[in-house]
Amino acid sequence: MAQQPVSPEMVNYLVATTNSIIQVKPQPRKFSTISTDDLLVAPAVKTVSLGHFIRRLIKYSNVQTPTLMATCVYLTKVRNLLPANAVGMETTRHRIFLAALILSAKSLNDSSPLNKHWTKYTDGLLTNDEVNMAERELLGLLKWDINIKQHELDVALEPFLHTIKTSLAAHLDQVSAQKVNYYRLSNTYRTSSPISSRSSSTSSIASHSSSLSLNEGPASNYSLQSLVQEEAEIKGHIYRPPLANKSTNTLNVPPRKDVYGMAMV
Amino acid sequence: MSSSVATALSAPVPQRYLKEKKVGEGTYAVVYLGKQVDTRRRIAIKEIKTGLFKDGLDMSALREVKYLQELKHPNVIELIDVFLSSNNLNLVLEFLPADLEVLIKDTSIVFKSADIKSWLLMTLRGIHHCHRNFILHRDLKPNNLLIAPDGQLKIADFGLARSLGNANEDLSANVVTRWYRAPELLFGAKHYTAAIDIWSIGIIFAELMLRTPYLPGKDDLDQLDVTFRALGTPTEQIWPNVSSLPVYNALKVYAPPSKQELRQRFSAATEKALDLMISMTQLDPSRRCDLVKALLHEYFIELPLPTPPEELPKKTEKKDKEESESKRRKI
Repeated sequence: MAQQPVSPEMVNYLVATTNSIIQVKPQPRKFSTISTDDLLVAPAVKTVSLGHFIRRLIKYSNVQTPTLMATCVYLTKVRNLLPANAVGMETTRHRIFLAALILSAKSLNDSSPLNKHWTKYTDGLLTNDEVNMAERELLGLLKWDINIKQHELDVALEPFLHTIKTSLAAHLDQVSAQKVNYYRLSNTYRTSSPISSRSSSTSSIASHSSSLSLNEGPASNYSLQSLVQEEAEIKGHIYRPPLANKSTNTLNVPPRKDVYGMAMV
Repeated sequence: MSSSVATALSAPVPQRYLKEKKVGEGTYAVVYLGKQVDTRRRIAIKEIKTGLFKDGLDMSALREVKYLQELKHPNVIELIDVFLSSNNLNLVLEFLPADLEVLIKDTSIVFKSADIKSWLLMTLRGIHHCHRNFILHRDLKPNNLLIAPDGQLKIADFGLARSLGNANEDLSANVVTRWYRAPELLFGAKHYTAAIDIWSIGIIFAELMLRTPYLPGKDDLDQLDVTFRALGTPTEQIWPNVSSLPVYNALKVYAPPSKQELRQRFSAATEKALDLMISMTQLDPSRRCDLVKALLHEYFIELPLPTPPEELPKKTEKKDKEESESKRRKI
């Protein structure tokens, strides 16, 4: 999952999570500084919609999925920390999201935009001081506890894990069915009707899963090989604990030789 | 530790800590000595200079907080608290009176081989703890290895640390103080491993034996020259694919040093010490030993055994004060 590009499902989930953090009171007239120009999608609320806001931030800052996963965890934490009856103003959710995103980007990546850049990415919704303030307040709220534990990650991303699990199961079924059909039908498996009906039924499950890049092309175009590869990929993601990647990121790939033997060279 | 931040936001200067004396100033932080008011415990306060209202929180400060919160180990500096004062971020750290660089430079101190072994062992233990939590330190040098009053060595300064994430993620090659920078970093590698920390420790090990920096390059280019003059120029033969690294160059080809040469260079080192150092300073990172191998190396088993931390040499001045200090802290 961590290696996939940012998916629309991820963004939608972020929007939903952010929306669930705090209820906002629409007070459109009170905050006149908020620019409500052409960006407006739904004019019900007099500010940029959260989905739009988040999508633009992700696009401008070019953050990757792992950063967003961390953001998700912080958002979930904030939700649990805030009292249920807390009410924010219109841009509170925007602020919380931005602060969480900044925090994850700064702590995970080697290079991150400065706050003044983040301010630019909000398209004039927030000022630099407001961004800084949001960042500080988030840290205060989290009480500087900015580490992400395995179980927090599991909880925050549960819906994704669930879809990965379901689609993994579906794929295993599909692949075995494909194999059976493959042997049965020799090399005409491409167009045979039982498979395409099967594939389309499973791909409808997969289409709402985030990290599987299944959505392109009609289902009947899948070759057996690509499915097997995909399955292997999914397996790899499932069995690896997120964010605690043990993958040795190799500079050079030759198999390790005996260190002491080599030392004599 | 946690409650203070909430209060810090409302009451800007918490009176839980007293800043007593400024002890150091760098480009990025000012360090004060102080006391924790209610426990009388001596502490160090690192005040991050970057104004909070300009670019937001400083990235390296944020990382330092993050990783120090995560890492609790006898050989890693303890982060006691974090608070925001009027305009600055303050890290409350445990009080550590000396560092390894000071000791190396203090010519009145004689290092016994058991002392070196003890310091090296504590460094390896601390870094092993980092690595098994998938954290690279990326700035190991004697100056960042602090010595507690009771002699324990503590790894400090996690401003450049980062967690080891995806294999396909680019990492910055511009890390680690030049003299301790591994060859793959000198060649601009964007993907590297925990082996860069091992290299730094190997160079520190050599420095402890020599009592002078082992590979003191004057600039980045000179660092390549100095490194390869001492350890040989890497070629495709000993380090496959080295020439594909971004800024690989092998203008001058030096032959790798023979074992005999190294024996002369480190005349006081035993065969096993030399063997460990050689395997930590392999040019090819995939041939460098890992921390587990280093910790299990026979060097640590052969006599003399590592000096117990409390018997290690200390800074010569103010010895009495430090002793009373360590007593107070044990209470």
